[in-house]
Amino acid sequence: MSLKLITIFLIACAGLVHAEDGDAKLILIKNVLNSIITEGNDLMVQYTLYNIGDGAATDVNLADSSFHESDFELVSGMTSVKWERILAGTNVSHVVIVRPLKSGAFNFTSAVVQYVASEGSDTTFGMSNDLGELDILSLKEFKRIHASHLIEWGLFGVWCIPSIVLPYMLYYKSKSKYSLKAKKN
Amino acid sequence: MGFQRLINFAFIFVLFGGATANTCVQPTPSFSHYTSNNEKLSQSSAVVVEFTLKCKNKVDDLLLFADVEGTQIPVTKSPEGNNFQVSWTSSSLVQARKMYKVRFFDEEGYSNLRKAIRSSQDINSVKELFQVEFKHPGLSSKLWIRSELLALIVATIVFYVVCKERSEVIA
Repeated sequence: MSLKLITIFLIACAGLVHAEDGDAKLILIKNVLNSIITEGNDLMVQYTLYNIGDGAATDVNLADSSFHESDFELVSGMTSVKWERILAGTNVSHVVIVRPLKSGAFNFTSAVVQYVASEGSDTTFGMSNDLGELDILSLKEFKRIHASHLIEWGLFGVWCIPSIVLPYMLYYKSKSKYSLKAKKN
Repeated sequence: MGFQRLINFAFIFVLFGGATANTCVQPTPSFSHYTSNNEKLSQSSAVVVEFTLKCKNKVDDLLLFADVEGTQIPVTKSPEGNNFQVSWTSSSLVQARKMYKVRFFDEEGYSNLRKAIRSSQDINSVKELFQVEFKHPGLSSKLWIRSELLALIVATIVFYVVCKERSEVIA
């Protein structure tokens, strides 16, 4: 009987100790806000850090080195940032705006986060989801689909004019001639 | 007696000194902003504000929080600690022209702000460290009617006129 009680007591203690662990656990989600990615137009990348652990994460560093200077131009935002603290159960987000310099398929790889999960512990590393290969449209292709084609329609109208206006002029001439004759009669 | 006074003075000095050690005196921000404005690229919008801060005193590890239209966002720093950035997104486009006003608070100001929110006071009554204002220009596409629709309307008018004339001739 006393052995049972001691066993139950010890398990309860272990449970209590585990609840007071207070380790932070961060999840990093990398997300592209654009529905279309085009060369020469802005690309918005959002990073969201969720702390699903029980404690606050301190000294959080986010770095994304997948946007090389040869392929992307940094328009706004910093690719390496840090937060002093992310409390348990909260999330923070960060946005970076880049502009692709080349078209074609591009492999969007993960970003890396490093943080201290609890006081005195070593640095924990985490990686975001990688977005895989996404297609970057060339500017020509984008204009073909999305630009306003007013000039093309204008030219179309101009080329239509001979085949519409010339028969109409003939009809109008004959109509005015015959209606004049009818009026005279 | 003199020693007691010295102790009191030292205590007050440490208290006062401690309180002002981590806040920026006379902050002068120099900032740049970005707002997304192309509806062909995305149905979400993003706003990014980057700034550096000049303070009269030397501050290490300044912790800042931003308040944008009632939402509080922590401000991120570059690893070296001298560039700051605050950014947010919304799931719908901001179509109209708009003035953004972002207020920045240090730790003390932020805790005052949280107290004001908890006690349902006006958050504008909490004094900010500094604020920045900038304009969002609205959507970039200027034409409100698509060229295909315009071509369709013109073709319909021409067709209507021709049909009318034709029916007059036939009748």
